[in-house]
Amino acid sequence: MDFRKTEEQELLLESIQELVERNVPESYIKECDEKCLPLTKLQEALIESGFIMIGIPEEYGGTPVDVTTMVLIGELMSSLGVGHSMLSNALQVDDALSFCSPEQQKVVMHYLLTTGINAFCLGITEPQAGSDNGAIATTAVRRGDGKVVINGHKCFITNADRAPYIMCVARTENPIDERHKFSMWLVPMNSPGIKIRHMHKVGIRMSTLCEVYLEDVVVDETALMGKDGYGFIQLMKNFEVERLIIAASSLGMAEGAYNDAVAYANQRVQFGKPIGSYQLIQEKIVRMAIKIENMKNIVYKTAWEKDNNIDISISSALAKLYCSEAAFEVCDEAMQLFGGIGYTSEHRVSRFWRDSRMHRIGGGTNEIMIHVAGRAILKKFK
Amino acid sequence: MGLLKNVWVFADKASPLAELCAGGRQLGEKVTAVVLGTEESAQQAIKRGADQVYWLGSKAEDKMFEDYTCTIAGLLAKHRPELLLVNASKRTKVVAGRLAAILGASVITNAIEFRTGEHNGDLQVSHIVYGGLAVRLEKPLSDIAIATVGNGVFRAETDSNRQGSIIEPPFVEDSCKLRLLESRVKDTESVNLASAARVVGVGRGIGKQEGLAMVYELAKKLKAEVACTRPVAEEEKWMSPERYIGVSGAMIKPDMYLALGISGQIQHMTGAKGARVIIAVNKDINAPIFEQADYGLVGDMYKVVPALMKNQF
Amino acid sequence: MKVIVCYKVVPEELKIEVNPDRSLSFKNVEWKLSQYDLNAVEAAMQLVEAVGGKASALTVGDQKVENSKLKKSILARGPEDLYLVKDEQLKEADTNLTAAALAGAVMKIGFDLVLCGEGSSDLYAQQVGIQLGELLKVPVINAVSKITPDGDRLIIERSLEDEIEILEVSLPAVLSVTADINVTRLPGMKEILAAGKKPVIEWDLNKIGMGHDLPKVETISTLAPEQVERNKILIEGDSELQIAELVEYIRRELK
Repeated sequence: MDFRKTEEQELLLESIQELVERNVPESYIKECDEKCLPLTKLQEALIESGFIMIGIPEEYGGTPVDVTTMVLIGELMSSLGVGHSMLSNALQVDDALSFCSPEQQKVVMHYLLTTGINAFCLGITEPQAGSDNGAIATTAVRRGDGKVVINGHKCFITNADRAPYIMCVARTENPIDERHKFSMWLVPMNSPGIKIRHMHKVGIRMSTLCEVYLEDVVVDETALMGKDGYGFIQLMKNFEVERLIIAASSLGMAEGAYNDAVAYANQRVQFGKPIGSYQLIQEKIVRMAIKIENMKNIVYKTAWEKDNNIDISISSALAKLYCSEAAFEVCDEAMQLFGGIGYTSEHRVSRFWRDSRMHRIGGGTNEIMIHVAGRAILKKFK
Repeated sequence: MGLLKNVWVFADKASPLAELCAGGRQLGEKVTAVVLGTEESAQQAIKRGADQVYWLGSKAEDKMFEDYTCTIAGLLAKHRPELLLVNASKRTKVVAGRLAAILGASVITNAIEFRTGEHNGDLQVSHIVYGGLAVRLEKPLSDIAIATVGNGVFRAETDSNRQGSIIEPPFVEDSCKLRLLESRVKDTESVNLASAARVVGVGRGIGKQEGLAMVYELAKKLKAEVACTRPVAEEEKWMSPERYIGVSGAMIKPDMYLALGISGQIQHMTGAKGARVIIAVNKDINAPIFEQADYGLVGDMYKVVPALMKNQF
Repeated sequence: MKVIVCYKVVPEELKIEVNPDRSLSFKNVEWKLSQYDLNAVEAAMQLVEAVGGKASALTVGDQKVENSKLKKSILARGPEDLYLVKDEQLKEADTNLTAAALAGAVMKIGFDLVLCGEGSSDLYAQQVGIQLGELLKVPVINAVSKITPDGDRLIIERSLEDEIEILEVSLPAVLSVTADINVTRLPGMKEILAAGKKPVIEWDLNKIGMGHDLPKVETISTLAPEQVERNKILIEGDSELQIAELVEYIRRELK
């Protein structure tokens, strides 16, 4: 088995690493994290260099890449401390381009190229509808004059206060059957009737989290995204790859924390010796190394499967589940290794710890991953 | 050490020329200097060690320094000295390189040491390679060898009684000319780190330009020159490029080098390790400099420097 | 404008190890493009993008130059094609031999302008560009910090130690550029993917009309310098007492 990266992948990763090192110093990342600001310098650099177009279809001027390359990029950027939002963006944009109307596509591409972010935030979750997204209650009612009235309450919406639009998932009026209950609407965030309330997150603070209230919000019928009733079906294209990106991001954060920790173990002197010479520290490091090795293997292999048209419905769930848990354990041990300073914001290991915790919840909770994978495995064995 | 028969020297400024003349005296029986400048500078060359001077006159208004290359090439081709020493400025690197191509001469750059053997022609020259990691000893194989030499490798000497001859060779039109449209003098400091007895060096650890004030004061107290690492001069631009010590900057041999907030990377330390005593202050106990220093203190220079200031030295 | 940019494949110096006998070991070394040459590539691309024409990359050396990833790396930065002169005789070529090989290749390719970096990051002789220009019998100058095309000439800014010269250079010419002439572009995804498909032309010394040129310099040894014995006395802390200890040491040494 050839586990090597291709030369093209190596060159690409070197370029991206240099881009991040040139434009996004740790002091800036720390500041953005503290103040809940986006990494504007990174976005600008990604736009200027053209890297923002990675993963975007060729017809729109983008450079499609295979899933393996995508996870390598996600891993690298997360290990450098800047997160994987560039790739999540790319996947969401790719989704949208596959079902949006031409006008909507223009809007999406324009925003990506000028701001580096996706034009719409994902308005799916509601207070009573998290894992159980069948319980979504937002309504979209056609008024008869070419307009639609939307009412609802969304929560945990990432970057709702920054995106110009929300992709609002609402119940379909007169659905043809059980499987076609939801539709998606591209709603301008500055529409009258929309109110936002910020929620304060513990980690991943460079993106915001909001509640969005939609009270008699009026949009054009042309705001429909894709086909009526095809809401979640339209999102099927990339949802497994999304899990894989999250897994890669977890892996990257673990690597970042691990690299910092091992370097520190060689530097920090207590009782006259570097702490790396003590066996308890060595054990921590070894067990972290094993987890990272496992995470790499599961992420790279699942990506390879997807690139070779092998079904990854089970393996993507396993990868997401395992990596989000293992990465948090690695970050946690890394923080322990750092001791006191690891618990402060002086050192970035605390940020890796806070950020990596999220992945056990977001992107489909780990409990849902077990539910999905468990049933599928048992079915296979029947 | 045996001596070469003929060593020629050439430089674009008086001070390096003086050093090279002294170097020529060490290595050769007869020293010939090629001088572009006033008649006085030609006479000075003799006092500095040249037996003979080819005086090209003052640089003409309409000519560039490099335009004299063909003249010099002709002289070298005719007289064929074993060795030509040239100082290591950007201009003279052009002259040296062009001479090498015209004459088929070997070039060894940034030479730090010369050895002549028992037999005539056993010249060996060493220079620094791989960013300071190693010293390479080379033997020129061509008839004429050219070596560029940095400041401070040789120590200039004066003998005011020395006599010698001055010859004025004809100018030979240069083959490839460039046209000088304009020349602007840069704001540079004149600093001679190579001959400073004591040097205080500053690295990135200083954190901000404002910190330099206390360093200058301390240096004054210690009667030391102030220097820095390359990033402080070239990237942060907190000090002028003449002040940076390193493999591509100044190489110093002071009695004492006090390094503040300097990590001790090889590119910098290559320039400083000629010091008799090295003292280092750095916040990071793992900074490589502590392995290369005689005395080190792990601490904040913003505490240490003011405390040092309270003392008499 | 037909621009040829010369580059060198150099070792990653951080991976060079020192053996107990002070000789150097390259066994763990990765090879990379010399950093300063990348500025020359960038300058070539900016010129060609401004006035039209073509940029080609050129290097000479032993089998190191065939490194597949490095070939792609240089082509991903813009040049349309790549010329390699590969010969075992060029293994540790001195500046004269290198310049001669480059000159042979450049004459065979044809050029308006040759760009070089200020020196290679490993040996930093800063000689090859100059010697190359003289061998080609064209105007040659170093320390170039700005290039402005002006018809069939170039107006260049040259940054010397204590002055800045503005020069007019007629083509063809050879220029050696400084490290701060520009900020090198980062190869993008498209450029990286396209790199592997660009033409690579490989020659040996015979092909460029050089056979058995003699080296002009012989290397006798390359050794890490002897470690100067240092006291390595370390005071761990900056309390008043500890600083006083340092003061004592300094006083003693300055006597």
